[in-house]
Amino acid sequence: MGPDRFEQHVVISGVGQSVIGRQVDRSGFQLTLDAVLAAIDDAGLTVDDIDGLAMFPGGGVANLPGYANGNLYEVQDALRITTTWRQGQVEGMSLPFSAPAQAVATGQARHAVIWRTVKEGSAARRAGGRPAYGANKPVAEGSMAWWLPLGALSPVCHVAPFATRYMHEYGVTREQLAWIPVTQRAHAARNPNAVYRTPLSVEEYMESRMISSPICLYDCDVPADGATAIVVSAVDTVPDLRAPVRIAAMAGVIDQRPSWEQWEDMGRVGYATAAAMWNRTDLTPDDVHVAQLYDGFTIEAVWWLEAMGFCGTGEAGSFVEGGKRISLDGQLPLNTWGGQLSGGRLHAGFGHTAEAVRQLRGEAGERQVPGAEVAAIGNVGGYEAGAALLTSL
Amino acid sequence: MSPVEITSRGRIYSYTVNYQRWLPELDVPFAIVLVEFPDYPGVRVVGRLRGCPPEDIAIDDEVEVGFEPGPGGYAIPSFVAVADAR
Repeated sequence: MGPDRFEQHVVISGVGQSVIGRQVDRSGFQLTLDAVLAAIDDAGLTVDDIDGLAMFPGGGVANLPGYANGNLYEVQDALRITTTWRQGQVEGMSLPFSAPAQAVATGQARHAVIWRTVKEGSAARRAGGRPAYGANKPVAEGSMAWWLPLGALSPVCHVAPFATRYMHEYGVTREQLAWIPVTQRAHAARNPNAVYRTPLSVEEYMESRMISSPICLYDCDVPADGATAIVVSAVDTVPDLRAPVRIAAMAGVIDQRPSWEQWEDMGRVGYATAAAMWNRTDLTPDDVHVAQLYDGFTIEAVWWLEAMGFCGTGEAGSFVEGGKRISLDGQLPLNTWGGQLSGGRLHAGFGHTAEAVRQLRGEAGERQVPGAEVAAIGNVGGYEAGAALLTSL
Repeated sequence: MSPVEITSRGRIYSYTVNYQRWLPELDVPFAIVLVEFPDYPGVRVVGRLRGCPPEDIAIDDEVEVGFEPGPGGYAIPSFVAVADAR
């Protein structure tokens, strides 16, 4: 561990969310402002304290239908503030609040807000199903050039071969992995803002339709409308803040070929990022009280469980089987808000980060994990990856 | 750096069978395979697989290189299952 790490100079001061649902009758711009204002208020700050703005992804690009971040300048205009640092991230996100943390740590801003807004639930309704890349990207280029002409039009097709390979190498079964969505659904029942809250059984999981094998319907996160904002503040402003949490360590490493089809070892994902994170702290996996691990698909949470060392390589199936270890009173409560699988696809670790902060503050309501003082967060895991450990102040 | 022509058989590293009709004209189900070539380490090509029912695909199966008509008049990478490989 180096003597000085940038994340020591910052705290997460606020998290805020708009109304979240399958379809919410507010524009992306409205949802964004709802979340940004809520996060600033949550931090104990006022709009005029904010001098850094960032969003993921940036550029106003419609990567997929329903990406609704809008335009960073319109948000600044709506807030009528002065900014000393701005960023729209498309690539290199790691955990999206990593760049704002670096900006604050280096004095480019004092209080930076980053947001992520989705209207993917509404986009899915308009499309008559989950939107696909082909819907607004008729020309296959870049990393998608090898996939889209095949009809592999959704991220599920790109991630599914990882799951196939993982299950082949380690003998993990769908019956075992079912316990991730099933347990998270039970958590969502205690989260009034989750999209799906009715109980889900392993039997229902096994009988659900296949989307792209071995990934079935309940392995896919649920397209939603909603926005999440996170405020990162300089550590010397802690006396001004309502309930900040520390960033004990964060990292984002890509050590294999950065491509969905070229990633060399599809049975092992996220390991370099997790190792780099642990190298920046004296904390160990045994110290973690709650885990908010990216779950765009079930297999992505599996990657982080193993990469972070909560269980051994290939052991996630037996670790989650029965659901006990990952339940609210288990040894590692997982995605306590329901995750993206039941809470809604808020994307890029934003929902996970908001929940980690709430758990560390003791503000997670009926789903609160008693005594949660250390939270792990993972984002994506494949050819983009970010991980962090947050601790209560 | 220059292209290399590969005509030898490949081996399935992983695969998926897609069942979701992402666009109205998309015929489903179809199999997508990630193929490696033992004589060319570091090369992995993704393509569709034909010549066997999707439920019969297995990791390490051998496949022949092929192409099939794709969108816009282009040929897209495709593979053909080798019947006697198992």
